[in-house]
Amino acid sequence: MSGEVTLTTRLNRTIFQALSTPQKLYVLIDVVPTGEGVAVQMPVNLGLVLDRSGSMAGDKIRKVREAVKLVLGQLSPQDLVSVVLFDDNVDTLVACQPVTNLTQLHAQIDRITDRGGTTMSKGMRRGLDEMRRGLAQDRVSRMLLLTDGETYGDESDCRQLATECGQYGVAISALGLGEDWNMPLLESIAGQSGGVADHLATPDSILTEFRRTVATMQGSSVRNAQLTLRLVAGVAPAAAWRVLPAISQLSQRTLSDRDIQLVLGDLEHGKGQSLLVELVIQPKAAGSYRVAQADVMYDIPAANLTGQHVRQDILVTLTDDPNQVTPFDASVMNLVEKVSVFKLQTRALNEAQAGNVALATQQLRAAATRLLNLGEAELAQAAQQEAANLERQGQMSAAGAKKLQYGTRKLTQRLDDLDT
Amino acid sequence: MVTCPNCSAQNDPSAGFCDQCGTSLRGLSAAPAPVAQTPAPAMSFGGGAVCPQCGAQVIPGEMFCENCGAALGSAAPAAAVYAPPPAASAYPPPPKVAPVAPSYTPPPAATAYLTGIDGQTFQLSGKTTYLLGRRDDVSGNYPDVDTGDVGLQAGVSRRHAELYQQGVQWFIRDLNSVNGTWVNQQHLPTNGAQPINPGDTIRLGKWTATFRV
Repeated sequence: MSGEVTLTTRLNRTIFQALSTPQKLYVLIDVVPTGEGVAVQMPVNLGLVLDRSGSMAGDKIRKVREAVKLVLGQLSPQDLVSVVLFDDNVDTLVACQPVTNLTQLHAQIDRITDRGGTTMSKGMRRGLDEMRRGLAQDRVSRMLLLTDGETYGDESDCRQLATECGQYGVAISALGLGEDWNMPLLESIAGQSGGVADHLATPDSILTEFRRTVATMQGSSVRNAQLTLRLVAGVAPAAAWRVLPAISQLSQRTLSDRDIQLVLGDLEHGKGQSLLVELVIQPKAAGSYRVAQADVMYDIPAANLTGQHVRQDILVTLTDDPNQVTPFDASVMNLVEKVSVFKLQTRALNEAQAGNVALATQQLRAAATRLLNLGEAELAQAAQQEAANLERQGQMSAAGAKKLQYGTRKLTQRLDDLDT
Repeated sequence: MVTCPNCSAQNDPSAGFCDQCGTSLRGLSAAPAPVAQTPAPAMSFGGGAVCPQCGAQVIPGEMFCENCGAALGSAAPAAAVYAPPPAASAYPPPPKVAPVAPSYTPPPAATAYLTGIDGQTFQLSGKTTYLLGRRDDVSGNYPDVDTGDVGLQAGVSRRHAELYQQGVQWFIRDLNSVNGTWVNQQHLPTNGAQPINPGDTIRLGKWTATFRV
């Protein structure tokens, strides 16, 4: 069964000028499961690990109850769910079980109330133990970890558990609510388990994010995807970025001096992933060349298929005639610009943490300029504000840093509040 | 095996391009062809290309300075243009053809108007196709209907949609826009076209406008 995954590549121009120096090309690679054979709803094993510490009182805990009920409505008897609550203690509210009796589950969810302090590792331990009862190759497992604050004295346990989750194939979606949570900790929990971290600015966004996470899990019919780029001599990779569903730098594994591999993981049906790869090519005379071949390998568990391939040549045309050089591809350029903002912002955060205030300030201002040009007025203002904070106080505000970090990551996402 | 005319590497006969250097192998026979190998130009980085804002060295083709983030755009240095060895042109320039008076002059396209949510009216006349989107100096995109900052806020793509006329009928086509195109609340498929009539409301992302003739 081939043709289940569509692979398309596009350069930032169709025809480039032949130069006597090395030059940079940008390649946009779209990997999208489109075939009917992958339009199936995957059974999921969802583990909800939820903070119920005292700080969650009021609207937050109400929205959590609402969001969990909403998610249960998305699931069916083929799915497994477990709910673990933690403060400085831990309780299993719903042991790992199929979603069959909604009435009974709803009654259990209503018992979620706030109390106590925060010891997150206890919640993660219990959450993983529950989920391990339902692990299977053809089931998408994910832990949804929600917290609104710092955990106390068990950060290294949390990191250790995240690695363990990754080994079991349980990616963690680490969601930080409000402004007081520990960004580096949630980032490393997500990273080490193969998941993502995100910032929920308001309790209302709990519902949206829970629902989106479950929909993504159910759509992940193509799994273990990895992209190999085979480069010809005289072509070197400069950087690789995931641009959709959100911007992140992809770490590349060098297979040989001319092959690099990028791990993509799960691909959601109809959405997939888009990557932006920067290549530097050595001078070549005018003509058409293949600069690389893209090869995506993937599994389709629902069809019991592993090691499927789809390949695509990446061709470049060079000309000596400046009049034949084609204009930039606007959609590729737009993504290049968004990635450049993400780079600037990431470097500014790192420089600020390292105490290089002047450099961080300069990079934030540059990011603000780019954001304004992209029409992201709100984020541009946040970048300006944090540049000013850095100048005055030598550090950024926690809220501003989170807004920038997670805002620039989502620059490539479409407006999803559009309804027709 | 097929010998690459550029680097002499041996390739599988089915290969379209040389595995070693990427040169096209189409139309080459499997017989080894003795071809003089031209030495590759010496690798040199930079070529004098620097960021106009911070002075950091940049690679030609780079869009944004790695150091300060400044837009480099199409500012590839003129000095870095590849200079081919001078050769006598095989093709004489095409003779200039004197313009011939057309025997049939199509009726001039009708003028149409588009009034945006901010009250701005765009007059469409004198062209066959009108680009709707947002002006962007970096990528050199200058649409006929520039929704500007209002469009930015409303999720209008730089090249969002186009308006054109066939006969007397006007059409709108979506140009693979990020946030979609609508006519009277009806969503156009990506790259889809649809006739529009005076009084119709078109929507690009969240930007709406009324079409008149």
